[in-house]
Amino acid sequence: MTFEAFITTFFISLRHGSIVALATLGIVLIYRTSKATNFAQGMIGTFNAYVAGYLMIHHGASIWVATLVALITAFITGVIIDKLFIRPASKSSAVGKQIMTLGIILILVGIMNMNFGLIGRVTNTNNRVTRFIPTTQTVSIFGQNIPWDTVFVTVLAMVLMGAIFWFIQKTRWGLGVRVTASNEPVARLMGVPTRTITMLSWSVAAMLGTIAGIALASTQGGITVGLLIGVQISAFFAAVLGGFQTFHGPVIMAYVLGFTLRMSRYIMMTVFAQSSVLADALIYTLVLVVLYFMPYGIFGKAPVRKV
Amino acid sequence: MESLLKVNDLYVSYGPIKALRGISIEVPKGSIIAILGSNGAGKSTLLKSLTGLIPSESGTVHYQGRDITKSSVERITADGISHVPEGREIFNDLTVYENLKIGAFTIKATSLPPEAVHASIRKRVGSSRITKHGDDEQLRLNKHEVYENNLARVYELFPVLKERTNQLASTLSGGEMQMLAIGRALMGTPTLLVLDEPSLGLAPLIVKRIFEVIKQLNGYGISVLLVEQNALQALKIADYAYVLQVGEIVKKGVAKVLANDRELIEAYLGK
Amino acid sequence: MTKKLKKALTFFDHHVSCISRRVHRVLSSIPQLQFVLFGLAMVIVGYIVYTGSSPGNINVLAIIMIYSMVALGLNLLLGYGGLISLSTAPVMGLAAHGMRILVVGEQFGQVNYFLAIVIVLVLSVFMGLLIGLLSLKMEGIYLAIATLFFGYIIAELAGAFELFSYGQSARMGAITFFGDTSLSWIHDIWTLYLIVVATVTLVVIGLYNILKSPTGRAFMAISRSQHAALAMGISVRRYRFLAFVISTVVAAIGGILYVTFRQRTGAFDSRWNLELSLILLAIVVVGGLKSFFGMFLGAMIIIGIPEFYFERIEAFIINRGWFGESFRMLGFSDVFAGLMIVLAILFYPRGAIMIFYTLKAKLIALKQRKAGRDVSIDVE
Repeated sequence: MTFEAFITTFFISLRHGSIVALATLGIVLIYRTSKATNFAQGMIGTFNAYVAGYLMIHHGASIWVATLVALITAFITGVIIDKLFIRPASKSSAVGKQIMTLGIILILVGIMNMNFGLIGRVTNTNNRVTRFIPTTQTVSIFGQNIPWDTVFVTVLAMVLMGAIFWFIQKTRWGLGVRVTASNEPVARLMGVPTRTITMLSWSVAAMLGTIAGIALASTQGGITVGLLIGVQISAFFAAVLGGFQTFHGPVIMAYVLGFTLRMSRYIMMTVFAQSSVLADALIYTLVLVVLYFMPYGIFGKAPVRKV
Repeated sequence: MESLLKVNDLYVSYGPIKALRGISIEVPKGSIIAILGSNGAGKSTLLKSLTGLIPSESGTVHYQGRDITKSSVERITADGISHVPEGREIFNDLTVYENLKIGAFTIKATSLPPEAVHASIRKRVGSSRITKHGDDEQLRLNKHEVYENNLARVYELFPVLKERTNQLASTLSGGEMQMLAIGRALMGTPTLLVLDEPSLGLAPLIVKRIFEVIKQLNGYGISVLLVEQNALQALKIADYAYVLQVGEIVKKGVAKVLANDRELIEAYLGK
Repeated sequence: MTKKLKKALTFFDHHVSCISRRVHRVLSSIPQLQFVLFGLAMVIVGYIVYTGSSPGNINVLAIIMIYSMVALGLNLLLGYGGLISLSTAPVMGLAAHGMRILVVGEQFGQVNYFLAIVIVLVLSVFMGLLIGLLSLKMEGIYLAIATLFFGYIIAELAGAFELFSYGQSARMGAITFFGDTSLSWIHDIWTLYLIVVATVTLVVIGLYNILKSPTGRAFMAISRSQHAALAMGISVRRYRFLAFVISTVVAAIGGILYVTFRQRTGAFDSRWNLELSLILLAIVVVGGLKSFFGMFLGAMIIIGIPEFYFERIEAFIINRGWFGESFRMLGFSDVFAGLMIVLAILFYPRGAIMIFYTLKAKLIALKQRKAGRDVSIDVE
């Protein structure tokens, strides 16, 4: 592999890692505050990215406006899911809530498939979702022309996640999030409005997923129902690998995983001349083997069970 | 004396099981009230129902003259009732300091009697903010000063917490955890401190220290509602006590009198 | 007049209850008979549908039977161990495609239909062992996620090696059975339907026998309390392992039946994907209660209602003048299945079949109250 090609792949991988990390942070946020493994994270993101795609393709909205609208609908999606489904099920087991998020996937897929003629229009490759910054604008890094858009998505993701981490670690409400995650009933005793915090976690997670969806859609042909399935699975891998008990572990693993996946695809194609899909399968198998020996992740500990 | 908390004919059920049957108690302002009883008598249920963790079936709870029967936990905490739950329930994955900080989640600017304000804060604020209500002097503090004051007082009461301030709470000993739980409750500037079995599972020396602290806090003007199995210790510091058995109050009286009631001690509370 | 009617009614009532008591006695001595009766009922229903005005519906009936059976296998995990497997659909797909590869023989040469079944089942046992291996180490949600990965990796690998890209048509009955004359008696969809009913009935009886054996009692103990089961000396992990193997094999049988009945494999990424795993899970959650009839009810609700009802009535074919075109609300069945899952978790965490039990309990209570009133009247 040449140095130039390495640089290009490096940045593309970093971009993908950022997208996975955004989705992962959403999953962890929800898991910590509502004790629900959110299988629907990717689908919620896709659903709202779809709103953005529709506005861009059929109403000529700029990507900035479309994204803003999609973020608002994402916020509302989060509120609705929490109010209608998750909170009434607060007494259900973790498995029950997990199954519920699977139900939410079906509902969202169904709504998108209700074929008002939109899916076909949005997935039409001639009408692809535009990038935040057109690829004609590039920045030269180590002599390689990297599209500004790649840099923008990477930086945006990092700034966003940095801000969220700062919020969680340093502010009063962030402490509220952490005590809700630690022990919800006692957090309420401290006067922390845990319901509001849980609801906002769903909203923020939905918004993070939506940004991931729009960023990914702009590099692909358009938005399909399966847009974020790969990202969702990578994000789960990352969350499990990093351990659900911390906020930072999964995000770090998301970068590692997203980065490794893209890098290995490239190596698989150029060095071994094999299908890029094989690289994914190999990496995932490797992760599964790691998980077999470290079932609670690299940063995680086995949960202490009270008898 | 003026009543701070008044519970009238409270009924609580867990499904078909009646946990509390017509409980009426009263906490006068500035007093220590003990609720005694054996395991399963309904003591913790009573506290949880007062602070809104468990809904009551019928009956009323009045706090400072207002009906708080249907209020949410968050609201009740913000109003100045701090609940130290049974088994400490501190946040293990947070540091000692963060545990204290979250205790102050609901604080607001307030006026305190000067003797309840830590010396360092009093010095800093100066006398300019003292207001007089008749004979009572009150010191007006803003939110940040209230926080600093509470923290300083907790550190003064429990110097060990200051030493361990950046340690994870899970690394503390049992006694230190109980101190942290009480300290965390004090951070919210409580008017009424509700303690659920503070002596549970602690060494006698530490139990003694905890009860000293409770007495000391009462001296600052904080009213205390104390649930205990350790009846003799509790009766030593309490003003008035209720004895609970299978969800009903079977005996009540001035603590000093009850402490000498041999029959009571043997029948309901064991040795 | 009313007296006569009353007398006739009592007479009728008496005989009905006599018959039902006798049926009950026979059923309780050979409980497997209920599945045979159910199979016979399905044959009758199938025949009515097949000879009726829309014989195409027999496809839906067969699919419901197959999915009910696969869901019963899943139930071993969810109902008895609280475990979720999201690798069901890929396993089914792999079995279906495996059958096609072996029987059609474009890649590795042609194999006899029955030998192909044996090979696919052996492979599915192997796959069950792999998934079970993960279950030895992982718990709860982590395990569920791991099974999701497993299914995903299968799909990715299959895609990478272009295993399933030789087409989907897999004519296996004697409709054109590549000269295998031993199967020449299979010549229409009705015969295939009978094969499905017979196989499902046999598999369900097999699962029932497993659940009534000491192994099944161990499952039951684990489902009540893992700790208590451990204390009784039951190796929770061993049985969990076993549960994964059994449910994987049942899923593979489902895949084989599917490809045999439909004569097509279905595209791996559009049919045998996460969505189908979720639908199967929905059948278990909505059906609930660890019984085959629960699964059948669940499959009827999740698949049957949308297929028989929503797809047919005009109200769901919306005319959107906005686009100047007519669109069927294709996604409605997904929304319906999703809503059913959510509602089941919220209101009937033990499955929709519980509705019947509550109704029955209410009916009995009503009868008793009525009986009580009758007695009091007699006293007067």
